[in-house]
Amino acid sequence: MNLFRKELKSGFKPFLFWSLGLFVFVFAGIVKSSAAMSDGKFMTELISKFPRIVVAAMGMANVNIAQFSGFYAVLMLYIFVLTAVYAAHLGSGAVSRESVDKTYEFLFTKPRTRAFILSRKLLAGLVFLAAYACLNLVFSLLAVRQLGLPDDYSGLFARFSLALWLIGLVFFSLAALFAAGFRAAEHGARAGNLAVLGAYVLAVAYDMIDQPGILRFFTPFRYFLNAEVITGNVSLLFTLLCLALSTVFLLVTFRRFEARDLGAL
Amino acid sequence: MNVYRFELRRAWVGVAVWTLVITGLLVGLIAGALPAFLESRTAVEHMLEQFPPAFAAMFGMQMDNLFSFGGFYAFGFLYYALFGAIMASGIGLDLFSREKREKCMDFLLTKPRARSRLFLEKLLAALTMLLGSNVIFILASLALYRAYAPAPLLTERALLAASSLLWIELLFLAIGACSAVFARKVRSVSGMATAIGFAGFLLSALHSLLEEEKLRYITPFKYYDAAKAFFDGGFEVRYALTGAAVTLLLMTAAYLRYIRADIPAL
Repeated sequence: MNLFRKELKSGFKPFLFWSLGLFVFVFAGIVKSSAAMSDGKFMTELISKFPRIVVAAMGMANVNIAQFSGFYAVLMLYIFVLTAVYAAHLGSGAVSRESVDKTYEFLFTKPRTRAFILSRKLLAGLVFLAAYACLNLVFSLLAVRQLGLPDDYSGLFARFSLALWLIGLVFFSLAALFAAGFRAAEHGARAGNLAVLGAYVLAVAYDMIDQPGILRFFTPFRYFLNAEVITGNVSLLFTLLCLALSTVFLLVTFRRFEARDLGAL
Repeated sequence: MNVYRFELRRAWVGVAVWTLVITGLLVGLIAGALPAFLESRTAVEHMLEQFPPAFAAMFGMQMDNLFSFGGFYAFGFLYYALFGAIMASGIGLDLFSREKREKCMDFLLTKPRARSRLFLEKLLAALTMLLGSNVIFILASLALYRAYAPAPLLTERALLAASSLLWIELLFLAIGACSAVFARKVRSVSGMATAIGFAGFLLSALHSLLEEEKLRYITPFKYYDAAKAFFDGGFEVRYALTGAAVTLLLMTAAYLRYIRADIPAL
Protein backbone atom coordinates (compact mmCIF):
# COMPACT_ATOMS: atom_id res chain seq x y z
CA MET A 1 0.00 0.00 0.00
CA ASN A 2 2.96 2.30 0.50
CA LEU A 3 3.49 2.60 -3.19
CA PHE A 4 -0.14 3.24 -3.98
CA ARG A 5 -0.35 5.94 -1.33
CA LYS A 6 2.82 7.60 -2.54
CA GLU A 7 1.52 7.63 -6.11
CA LEU A 8 -1.70 9.25 -4.98
CA LYS A 9 0.25 11.87 -3.07
CA SER A 10 2.60 12.76 -5.88
CA GLY A 11 -0.20 12.87 -8.44
CA PHE A 12 -2.44 15.07 -6.35
CA LYS A 13 -1.00 18.44 -7.22
CA PRO A 14 -1.21 17.91 -10.99
CA PHE A 15 -4.72 16.58 -10.43
CA LEU A 16 -5.73 19.83 -8.73
CA PHE A 17 -4.26 21.77 -11.61
CA TRP A 18 -6.19 19.77 -14.21
CA SER A 19 -9.36 20.00 -12.11
CA LEU A 20 -9.02 23.76 -12.12
CA GLY A 21 -9.13 23.70 -15.93
CA LEU A 22 -12.20 21.46 -15.79
CA PHE A 23 -13.85 23.73 -13.25
CA VAL A 24 -13.29 26.88 -15.30
CA PHE A 25 -14.53 25.29 -18.48
CA VAL A 26 -17.62 23.61 -17.04
CA PHE A 27 -18.64 26.49 -14.81
CA ALA A 28 -18.08 29.30 -17.27
CA GLY A 29 -19.66 27.24 -20.02
CA ILE A 30 -22.82 26.33 -18.15
CA VAL A 31 -23.40 29.54 -16.23
CA LYS A 32 -23.06 31.66 -19.35
CA SER A 33 -24.99 29.25 -21.56
CA SER A 34 -28.29 31.14 -21.41
CA ALA A 35 -26.92 33.94 -23.59
CA ALA A 36 -25.73 31.47 -26.20
CA MET A 37 -29.01 29.56 -26.11
CA SER A 38 -31.21 32.64 -26.54
CA ASP A 39 -30.49 32.80 -30.24
CA GLY A 40 -29.81 29.08 -30.37
CA LYS A 41 -32.85 28.26 -32.50
CA PHE A 42 -31.71 30.74 -35.10
CA MET A 43 -28.14 29.51 -34.94
CA THR A 44 -29.11 25.85 -35.19
CA GLU A 45 -31.22 26.49 -38.25
CA LEU A 46 -28.56 28.66 -39.79
CA ILE A 47 -25.91 26.04 -39.20
CA SER A 48 -28.04 23.32 -40.76
CA LYS A 49 -27.86 25.21 -44.06
CA PHE A 50 -24.08 25.29 -44.12
CA PRO A 51 -22.10 22.54 -45.78
CA ARG A 52 -21.27 19.72 -43.43
CA ILE A 53 -17.54 20.29 -43.60
CA VAL A 54 -17.80 23.86 -42.28
CA VAL A 55 -20.18 22.91 -39.52
CA ALA A 56 -17.80 20.17 -38.46
CA ALA A 57 -14.86 22.57 -38.48
CA MET A 58 -16.83 24.82 -36.13
CA GLY A 59 -17.46 21.87 -33.83
CA MET A 60 -21.22 22.22 -34.23
CA ALA A 61 -22.08 19.02 -36.07
CA ASN A 62 -25.24 17.13 -35.04
CA VAL A 63 -26.25 19.40 -32.19
CA ASN A 64 -29.17 21.56 -31.30
CA ILE A 65 -27.85 24.36 -29.14
CA ALA A 66 -31.31 25.79 -28.65
CA GLN A 67 -31.73 23.30 -25.82
CA PHE A 68 -29.58 23.03 -22.76
CA SER A 69 -28.81 19.36 -23.42
CA GLY A 70 -27.46 20.18 -26.88
CA PHE A 71 -25.38 23.02 -25.55
CA TYR A 72 -24.00 20.82 -22.81
CA ALA A 73 -23.10 18.20 -25.43
CA VAL A 74 -20.98 20.74 -27.32
CA LEU A 75 -19.26 21.67 -24.09
CA MET A 76 -18.60 18.01 -23.33
CA LEU A 77 -16.93 17.39 -26.69
CA TYR A 78 -14.23 19.78 -25.56
CA ILE A 79 -14.12 18.28 -22.07
CA PHE A 80 -13.53 14.91 -23.72
CA VAL A 81 -10.42 16.33 -25.35
CA LEU A 82 -9.22 17.86 -22.08
CA THR A 83 -9.71 14.54 -20.31
CA ALA A 84 -7.97 12.62 -23.07
CA VAL A 85 -4.87 14.79 -22.73
CA TYR A 86 -4.90 14.31 -18.96
CA ALA A 87 -5.48 10.56 -19.31
CA ALA A 88 -2.57 10.21 -21.74
CA HIS A 89 -0.42 12.10 -19.25
CA LEU A 90 -1.47 9.75 -16.44
CA GLY A 91 -0.92 6.63 -18.54
CA SER A 92 2.56 7.43 -19.78
CA GLY A 93 3.53 8.82 -16.38
CA ALA A 94 2.56 5.59 -14.64
CA VAL A 95 4.89 3.57 -16.84
CA SER A 96 7.88 5.79 -17.43
CA ARG A 97 8.03 8.28 -14.59
CA GLU A 98 10.69 6.42 -12.61
CA SER A 99 12.80 6.09 -15.73
CA VAL A 100 12.53 9.80 -16.48
CA ASP A 101 13.36 10.75 -12.91
CA LYS A 102 16.20 8.23 -12.91
CA THR A 103 14.84 6.67 -9.73
CA TYR A 104 14.09 3.31 -11.27
CA GLU A 105 17.09 1.65 -9.66
CA PHE A 106 15.78 2.63 -6.28
CA LEU A 107 12.26 1.35 -6.82
CA PHE A 108 12.75 -1.73 -8.94
CA THR A 109 15.37 -3.27 -6.67
CA LYS A 110 12.77 -3.50 -3.91
CA PRO A 111 11.48 -7.02 -3.28
CA ARG A 112 8.40 -6.54 -5.40
CA THR A 113 7.78 -7.74 -8.93
CA ARG A 114 7.56 -5.26 -11.74
CA ALA A 115 3.96 -6.28 -12.34
CA PHE A 116 3.13 -5.47 -8.73
CA ILE A 117 4.69 -2.02 -8.94
CA LEU A 118 3.17 -1.22 -12.31
CA SER A 119 -0.28 -2.37 -11.22
CA ARG A 120 -0.21 -0.02 -8.20
CA LYS A 121 0.92 2.86 -10.37
CA LEU A 122 -1.74 2.24 -12.98
CA LEU A 123 -4.36 1.85 -10.27
CA ALA A 124 -3.47 5.26 -8.87
CA GLY A 125 -3.85 6.71 -12.37
CA LEU A 126 -7.26 5.09 -12.72
CA VAL A 127 -8.33 6.56 -9.40
CA PHE A 128 -7.42 10.03 -10.61
CA LEU A 129 -9.26 9.46 -13.87
CA ALA A 130 -12.38 8.27 -12.06
CA ALA A 131 -12.16 11.22 -9.68
CA TYR A 132 -11.91 13.53 -12.67
CA ALA A 133 -15.09 12.10 -14.18
CA CYS A 134 -16.85 12.44 -10.82
CA LEU A 135 -15.69 16.04 -10.53
CA ASN A 136 -17.18 16.71 -13.94
CA LEU A 137 -20.50 15.42 -12.63
CA VAL A 138 -20.25 17.51 -9.45
CA PHE A 139 -19.22 20.71 -11.24
CA SER A 140 -22.01 20.26 -13.78
CA LEU A 141 -24.61 19.75 -11.07
CA LEU A 142 -23.41 22.76 -9.11
CA ALA A 143 -23.20 24.98 -12.17
CA VAL A 144 -26.61 24.11 -13.55
CA ARG A 145 -28.18 25.14 -10.26
CA GLN A 146 -27.10 28.70 -10.94
CA LEU A 147 -29.28 28.67 -14.02
CA GLY A 148 -32.49 27.66 -12.25
CA LEU A 149 -33.70 25.48 -15.12
CA PRO A 150 -36.95 23.59 -14.51
CA ASP A 151 -35.78 20.15 -15.69
CA ASP A 152 -33.57 17.66 -13.94
CA TYR A 153 -30.32 17.03 -15.76
CA SER A 154 -28.54 14.71 -13.36
CA GLY A 155 -29.12 11.68 -15.61
CA LEU A 156 -27.66 13.50 -18.59
CA PHE A 157 -24.65 14.64 -16.60
CA ALA A 158 -24.08 11.15 -15.23
CA ARG A 159 -24.18 9.62 -18.71
CA PHE A 160 -21.72 12.16 -20.08
CA SER A 161 -19.41 11.69 -17.09
CA LEU A 162 -19.44 7.94 -17.62
CA ALA A 163 -18.63 8.42 -21.30
CA LEU A 164 -15.87 10.77 -20.21
CA TRP A 165 -14.38 8.10 -17.99
CA LEU A 166 -14.58 5.41 -20.67
CA ILE A 167 -12.95 7.59 -23.32
CA GLY A 168 -10.30 8.60 -20.82
CA LEU A 169 -9.72 4.93 -20.07
CA VAL A 170 -8.91 4.15 -23.70
CA PHE A 171 -6.37 6.96 -23.96
CA PHE A 172 -4.95 6.12 -20.54
CA SER A 173 -4.22 2.52 -21.49
CA LEU A 174 -3.05 3.42 -24.97
CA ALA A 175 -0.56 5.94 -23.55
CA ALA A 176 0.63 3.33 -21.04
CA LEU A 177 1.13 0.88 -23.89
CA PHE A 178 3.17 3.40 -25.91
CA ALA A 179 5.24 4.32 -22.87
CA ALA A 180 6.05 0.66 -22.29
CA GLY A 181 6.67 -0.02 -25.96
CA PHE A 182 9.20 2.70 -26.77
CA ARG A 183 12.73 2.61 -25.46
CA ALA A 184 12.99 6.36 -24.97
CA ALA A 185 10.44 7.74 -22.53
CA GLU A 186 9.98 10.91 -24.56
CA HIS A 187 9.12 8.92 -27.67
CA GLY A 188 6.48 6.98 -25.76
CA ALA A 189 4.93 10.14 -24.35
CA ARG A 190 4.97 11.73 -27.78
CA ALA A 191 3.20 8.76 -29.33
CA GLY A 192 0.52 8.94 -26.63
CA ASN A 193 -0.06 12.64 -27.20
CA LEU A 194 -0.08 12.26 -30.95
CA ALA A 195 -2.71 9.56 -30.54
CA VAL A 196 -4.96 12.08 -28.78
CA LEU A 197 -4.36 14.71 -31.44
CA GLY A 198 -4.84 12.19 -34.26
CA ALA A 199 -8.05 10.87 -32.72
CA TYR A 200 -9.33 14.43 -32.48
CA VAL A 201 -8.54 15.11 -36.14
CA LEU A 202 -10.31 11.87 -37.07
CA ALA A 203 -13.29 12.93 -34.96
CA VAL A 204 -13.57 16.19 -36.90
CA ALA A 205 -13.16 14.24 -40.13
CA TYR A 206 -15.94 11.91 -38.95
CA ASP A 207 -18.26 14.90 -38.62
CA MET A 208 -17.28 16.18 -42.03
CA ILE A 209 -18.05 13.04 -43.99
CA ASP A 210 -21.61 12.05 -44.81
CA GLN A 211 -21.03 8.31 -44.61
CA PRO A 212 -18.17 7.80 -42.15
CA GLY A 213 -18.83 4.08 -41.72
CA ILE A 214 -15.86 2.31 -40.23
CA LEU A 215 -14.07 5.55 -39.29
CA ARG A 216 -15.95 5.63 -36.00
CA PHE A 217 -13.97 2.69 -34.67
CA PHE A 218 -10.73 4.63 -34.94
CA THR A 219 -11.65 7.65 -32.88
CA PRO A 220 -12.75 7.12 -29.28
CA PHE A 221 -14.10 10.69 -29.31
CA ARG A 222 -16.99 9.43 -31.44
CA TYR A 223 -17.71 6.20 -29.58
CA PHE A 224 -20.42 8.08 -27.73
CA LEU A 225 -22.38 10.35 -30.06
CA ASN A 226 -24.20 13.41 -28.74
CA ALA A 227 -27.63 12.29 -29.79
CA GLU A 228 -27.14 8.86 -28.23
CA VAL A 229 -25.97 10.18 -24.89
CA ILE A 230 -28.70 12.83 -24.71
CA THR A 231 -31.50 10.33 -25.32
CA GLY A 232 -29.85 7.66 -23.21
CA ASN A 233 -29.36 5.08 -25.98
CA VAL A 234 -25.65 4.71 -25.45
CA SER A 235 -24.30 2.13 -27.85
CA LEU A 236 -23.48 -1.06 -25.98
CA LEU A 237 -21.09 -2.14 -28.71
CA PHE A 238 -18.89 0.90 -28.24
CA THR A 239 -19.06 0.78 -24.45
CA LEU A 240 -17.79 -2.78 -24.58
CA LEU A 241 -15.25 -1.78 -27.21
CA CYS A 242 -13.82 0.83 -24.80
CA LEU A 243 -13.45 -1.75 -22.07
CA ALA A 244 -12.06 -4.40 -24.41
CA LEU A 245 -9.51 -2.04 -25.96
CA SER A 246 -8.30 -0.86 -22.55
CA THR A 247 -7.99 -4.42 -21.28
CA VAL A 248 -5.97 -5.49 -24.29
CA PHE A 249 -3.76 -2.39 -24.16
CA LEU A 250 -3.08 -2.86 -20.45
CA LEU A 251 -2.32 -6.56 -20.82
CA VAL A 252 0.21 -5.83 -23.55
CA THR A 253 1.62 -3.05 -21.39
CA PHE A 254 2.26 -5.50 -18.57
CA ARG A 255 3.88 -8.04 -20.89
CA ARG A 256 6.11 -5.40 -22.47
CA PHE A 257 7.00 -3.86 -19.15
CA GLU A 258 8.10 -7.19 -17.67
CA ALA A 259 10.57 -7.70 -20.47
CA ARG A 260 11.96 -4.27 -21.18
CA ASP A 261 15.06 -2.39 -20.21
CA LEU A 262 14.21 0.21 -17.61
CA GLY A 263 16.82 2.88 -18.21
CA ALA A 264 15.35 5.73 -20.20
CA LEU A 265 17.31 7.30 -22.96
CA MET B 1 27.13 30.09 -33.09
CA ASN B 2 27.67 26.48 -32.00
CA VAL B 3 24.57 26.44 -29.83
CA TYR B 4 22.50 27.87 -32.65
CA ARG B 5 23.68 25.22 -35.08
CA PHE B 6 23.28 22.44 -32.54
CA GLU B 7 19.70 23.37 -31.68
CA LEU B 8 18.74 23.70 -35.33
CA ARG B 9 20.18 20.30 -36.10
CA ARG B 10 18.34 18.70 -33.22
CA ALA B 11 14.92 20.20 -33.80
CA TRP B 12 14.44 20.93 -37.46
CA VAL B 13 12.96 17.57 -38.47
CA GLY B 14 10.06 17.90 -36.05
CA VAL B 15 9.36 21.43 -37.24
CA ALA B 16 9.46 20.31 -40.86
CA VAL B 17 6.90 17.57 -40.18
CA TRP B 18 4.59 19.97 -38.34
CA THR B 19 4.89 22.48 -41.16
CA LEU B 20 3.93 19.86 -43.71
CA VAL B 21 0.92 18.83 -41.63
CA ILE B 22 -0.31 22.41 -41.14
CA THR B 23 0.19 23.38 -44.76
CA GLY B 24 -1.38 20.13 -45.92
CA LEU B 25 -4.41 20.82 -43.74
CA LEU B 26 -4.69 24.31 -45.20
CA VAL B 27 -4.49 23.11 -48.77
CA GLY B 28 -6.87 20.22 -48.12
CA LEU B 29 -9.52 22.35 -46.45
CA ILE B 30 -9.47 25.14 -49.00
CA ALA B 31 -9.13 23.04 -52.14
CA GLY B 32 -11.58 20.46 -50.81
CA ALA B 33 -14.33 22.52 -49.27
CA LEU B 34 -14.21 26.16 -50.34
CA PRO B 35 -16.30 25.71 -53.54
CA ALA B 36 -19.07 23.83 -51.69
CA PHE B 37 -19.01 26.48 -48.98
CA LEU B 38 -19.49 29.33 -51.41
CA GLU B 39 -22.37 27.48 -53.07
CA SER B 40 -24.25 27.12 -49.79
CA ARG B 41 -24.76 30.88 -49.71
CA THR B 42 -28.09 30.72 -51.55
CA ALA B 43 -29.51 28.22 -49.06
CA VAL B 44 -28.51 30.42 -46.14
CA GLU B 45 -29.93 33.53 -47.79
CA HIS B 46 -33.13 31.66 -48.44
CA MET B 47 -33.46 30.73 -44.80
CA LEU B 48 -32.75 34.25 -43.63
CA GLU B 49 -35.78 35.52 -45.52
CA GLN B 50 -38.04 33.56 -43.17
CA PHE B 51 -36.65 35.29 -40.10
CA PRO B 52 -37.66 38.70 -38.73
CA PRO B 53 -36.10 41.50 -40.77
CA ALA B 54 -34.04 42.69 -37.82
CA PHE B 55 -32.24 39.37 -37.67
CA ALA B 56 -31.72 39.26 -41.39
CA ALA B 57 -30.39 42.79 -41.44
CA MET B 58 -27.98 42.07 -38.63
CA PHE B 59 -26.73 39.00 -40.38
CA GLY B 60 -27.13 40.10 -43.96
CA MET B 61 -24.47 42.73 -43.59
CA GLN B 62 -21.93 40.06 -42.92
CA MET B 63 -22.95 37.79 -45.77
CA ASP B 64 -20.37 39.13 -48.20
CA ASN B 65 -17.66 38.70 -45.65
CA LEU B 66 -18.78 35.30 -44.45
CA PHE B 67 -19.05 33.75 -47.89
CA SER B 68 -15.67 34.74 -49.18
CA PHE B 69 -12.20 33.29 -49.22
CA GLY B 70 -11.36 35.20 -46.05
CA GLY B 71 -14.42 33.98 -44.18
CA PHE B 72 -13.60 30.39 -44.95
CA TYR B 73 -9.91 30.86 -44.24
CA ALA B 74 -10.81 32.09 -40.77
CA PHE B 75 -12.96 28.99 -40.11
CA GLY B 76 -10.01 26.69 -40.50
CA PHE B 77 -7.72 28.97 -38.57
CA LEU B 78 -8.67 27.43 -35.24
CA TYR B 79 -7.02 24.19 -36.35
CA TYR B 80 -3.92 25.74 -37.88
CA ALA B 81 -3.55 27.68 -34.65
CA LEU B 82 -3.93 24.51 -32.56
CA PHE B 83 -1.23 22.70 -34.52
CA GLY B 84 0.98 25.77 -34.65
CA ALA B 85 0.61 26.35 -30.92
CA ILE B 86 1.61 22.79 -30.09
CA MET B 87 4.59 23.08 -32.43
CA ALA B 88 5.73 26.46 -31.14
CA SER B 89 5.36 25.73 -27.44
CA GLY B 90 7.10 22.42 -28.15
CA ILE B 91 10.06 24.26 -29.67
CA GLY B 92 10.21 26.64 -26.71
CA LEU B 93 10.05 23.81 -24.19
CA ASP B 94 12.49 21.62 -26.07
CA LEU B 95 15.22 24.18 -26.63
CA PHE B 96 15.13 25.90 -23.29
CA SER B 97 14.81 22.77 -21.15
CA ARG B 98 17.23 20.58 -23.08
CA GLU B 99 20.10 20.79 -20.60
CA LYS B 100 17.71 20.56 -17.68
CA ARG B 101 16.16 17.36 -19.01
CA GLU B 102 19.41 15.73 -19.93
CA LYS B 103 21.05 16.86 -16.70
CA CYS B 104 23.96 18.55 -18.41
CA MET B 105 23.43 22.17 -17.40
CA ASP B 106 26.93 22.25 -15.94
CA PHE B 107 28.37 21.11 -19.25
CA LEU B 108 26.87 23.99 -21.17
CA LEU B 109 27.16 26.71 -18.55
CA THR B 110 30.84 26.14 -17.80
CA LYS B 111 31.72 26.94 -21.39
CA PRO B 112 33.28 30.36 -21.90
CA ARG B 113 30.05 31.90 -23.16
CA ALA B 114 27.78 34.26 -21.24
CA ARG B 115 24.40 32.84 -20.35
CA SER B 116 22.75 35.70 -22.17
CA ARG B 117 24.57 34.66 -25.31
CA LEU B 118 23.43 31.05 -24.90
CA PHE B 119 19.86 32.19 -24.40
CA LEU B 120 19.96 34.42 -27.44
CA GLU B 121 21.41 31.72 -29.64
CA LYS B 122 18.68 29.32 -28.57
CA LEU B 123 16.09 32.00 -29.17
CA LEU B 124 17.54 32.74 -32.57
CA ALA B 125 17.38 29.05 -33.48
CA ALA B 126 13.73 28.92 -32.40
CA LEU B 127 12.90 32.07 -34.37
CA THR B 128 14.66 30.71 -37.46
CA MET B 129 12.55 27.57 -37.37
CA LEU B 130 9.28 29.41 -36.77
CA LEU B 131 10.03 31.88 -39.53
CA GLY B 132 10.95 29.12 -41.96
CA SER B 133 7.79 27.24 -41.13
CA ASN B 134 5.67 30.35 -41.57
CA VAL B 135 7.25 31.37 -44.85
CA ILE B 136 5.96 28.10 -46.24
CA PHE B 137 2.54 28.53 -44.66
CA ILE B 138 2.21 32.11 -45.90
CA LEU B 139 3.35 31.24 -49.41
CA ALA B 140 0.82 28.41 -49.53
CA SER B 141 -1.90 30.75 -48.26
CA LEU B 142 -1.09 33.38 -50.88
CA ALA B 143 -0.97 30.79 -53.66
CA LEU B 144 -4.38 29.47 -52.62
CA TYR B 145 -5.68 33.02 -52.39
CA ARG B 146 -4.60 33.75 -55.94
CA ALA B 147 -6.07 30.47 -57.14
CA TYR B 148 -9.44 30.56 -55.39
CA ALA B 149 -10.39 34.13 -54.47
CA PRO B 150 -12.28 36.20 -57.02
CA ALA B 151 -10.83 39.50 -58.26
CA PRO B 152 -10.02 42.11 -57.06
CA LEU B 153 -7.22 40.53 -55.08
CA LEU B 154 -6.11 42.29 -51.93
CA THR B 155 -2.78 40.59 -51.49
CA GLU B 156 -1.60 42.74 -48.56
CA ARG B 157 -4.67 41.76 -46.56
CA ALA B 158 -4.19 38.09 -47.33
CA LEU B 159 -0.58 38.44 -46.28
CA LEU B 160 -1.56 40.05 -42.98
CA ALA B 161 -4.20 37.39 -42.32
CA ALA B 162 -1.76 34.58 -43.04
CA SER B 163 0.82 36.21 -40.79
CA SER B 164 -1.44 35.91 -37.75
CA LEU B 165 -0.32 32.30 -37.38
CA LEU B 166 3.25 33.55 -36.95
CA TRP B 167 2.25 36.01 -34.22
CA ILE B 168 0.28 33.35 -32.39
CA GLU B 169 3.21 30.95 -32.64
CA LEU B 170 5.60 33.56 -31.27
CA LEU B 171 3.34 33.95 -28.25
CA PHE B 172 3.29 30.19 -27.71
CA LEU B 173 7.05 30.03 -28.15
CA ALA B 174 7.31 32.51 -25.30
CA ILE B 175 4.89 30.47 -23.19
CA GLY B 176 6.91 27.34 -23.86
CA ALA B 177 10.24 29.00 -23.13
CA CYS B 178 8.90 30.50 -19.93
CA SER B 179 7.50 27.19 -18.68
CA ALA B 180 10.76 25.45 -19.54
CA VAL B 181 12.88 27.94 -17.66
CA PHE B 182 10.68 28.28 -14.61
CA ALA B 183 9.64 24.63 -14.20
CA ARG B 184 11.71 22.73 -11.69
CA LYS B 185 11.56 19.68 -13.88
CA VAL B 186 10.41 19.05 -17.43
CA ARG B 187 9.41 15.40 -17.67
CA SER B 188 7.92 15.37 -21.13
CA VAL B 189 8.17 18.08 -23.75
CA SER B 190 5.37 16.68 -25.89
CA GLY B 191 3.08 16.28 -22.89
CA MET B 192 3.43 19.89 -21.82
CA ALA B 193 3.27 21.19 -25.39
CA THR B 194 0.06 19.27 -26.06
CA ALA B 195 -1.46 20.53 -22.82
CA ILE B 196 -0.52 24.15 -23.61
CA GLY B 197 -1.77 23.91 -27.20
CA PHE B 198 -5.08 22.35 -26.23
CA ALA B 199 -5.50 24.89 -23.42
CA GLY B 200 -5.37 27.62 -26.06
CA PHE B 201 -7.77 25.63 -28.22
CA LEU B 202 -10.27 25.12 -25.40
CA LEU B 203 -10.16 28.81 -24.42
CA SER B 204 -10.84 29.71 -28.01
CA ALA B 205 -13.75 27.27 -28.17
CA LEU B 206 -15.13 28.66 -24.91
CA HIS B 207 -14.90 32.18 -26.27
CA SER B 208 -16.75 31.20 -29.45
CA LEU B 209 -19.47 29.44 -27.49
CA LEU B 210 -20.09 32.20 -24.99
CA GLU B 211 -19.23 35.26 -27.08
CA GLU B 212 -18.04 37.00 -23.94
CA GLU B 213 -15.83 39.97 -24.89
CA LYS B 214 -13.74 40.04 -21.71
CA LEU B 215 -12.76 36.42 -22.18
CA ARG B 216 -10.90 37.39 -25.32
CA TYR B 217 -8.11 39.00 -23.36
CA ILE B 218 -7.03 35.56 -22.17
CA THR B 219 -7.68 33.76 -25.48
CA PRO B 220 -4.37 33.71 -27.37
CA PHE B 221 -5.83 32.20 -30.55
CA LYS B 222 -8.03 35.27 -30.94
CA TYR B 223 -5.47 37.99 -30.31
CA TYR B 224 -4.72 38.17 -34.02
CA ASP B 225 -7.97 37.63 -35.85
CA ALA B 226 -7.45 36.42 -39.43
CA ALA B 227 -11.02 37.29 -40.40
CA LYS B 228 -10.61 40.90 -39.24
CA ALA B 229 -7.35 41.17 -41.13
CA PHE B 230 -9.09 40.08 -44.30
CA PHE B 231 -12.12 42.35 -44.01
CA ASP B 232 -10.75 45.46 -42.32
CA GLY B 233 -7.10 45.26 -43.31
CA GLY B 234 -5.85 45.16 -39.74
CA PHE B 235 -6.06 43.36 -36.42
CA GLU B 236 -8.07 44.79 -33.56
CA VAL B 237 -5.47 46.96 -31.88
CA ARG B 238 -6.46 46.20 -28.29
CA TYR B 239 -6.06 42.46 -28.63
CA ALA B 240 -3.05 42.57 -30.91
CA LEU B 241 -1.30 44.83 -28.42
CA THR B 242 -2.25 42.52 -25.56
CA GLY B 243 -0.75 39.63 -27.49
CA ALA B 244 2.45 41.48 -28.29
CA ALA B 245 2.82 42.68 -24.71
CA VAL B 246 2.29 39.20 -23.28
CA THR B 247 4.80 37.74 -25.73
CA LEU B 248 7.48 40.26 -24.85
CA LEU B 249 6.77 40.01 -21.15
CA LEU B 250 7.05 36.22 -21.08
CA MET B 251 10.19 36.24 -23.21
CA THR B 252 11.83 38.83 -20.96
CA ALA B 253 10.86 36.87 -17.87
CA ALA B 254 12.36 33.73 -19.39
CA TYR B 255 15.54 35.61 -20.30
CA LEU B 256 16.00 37.10 -16.83
CA ARG B 257 15.38 33.77 -15.19
CA TYR B 258 17.74 31.93 -17.53
CA ILE B 259 20.67 34.25 -16.88
CA ARG B 260 20.15 34.25 -13.10
CA ALA B 261 18.81 30.85 -12.08
CA ASP B 262 20.77 28.60 -9.76
CA ILE B 263 21.85 25.33 -11.27
CA PRO B 264 20.66 22.47 -9.09
CA ALA B 265 23.20 19.88 -8.04
CA LEU B 266 22.81 16.61 -9.88
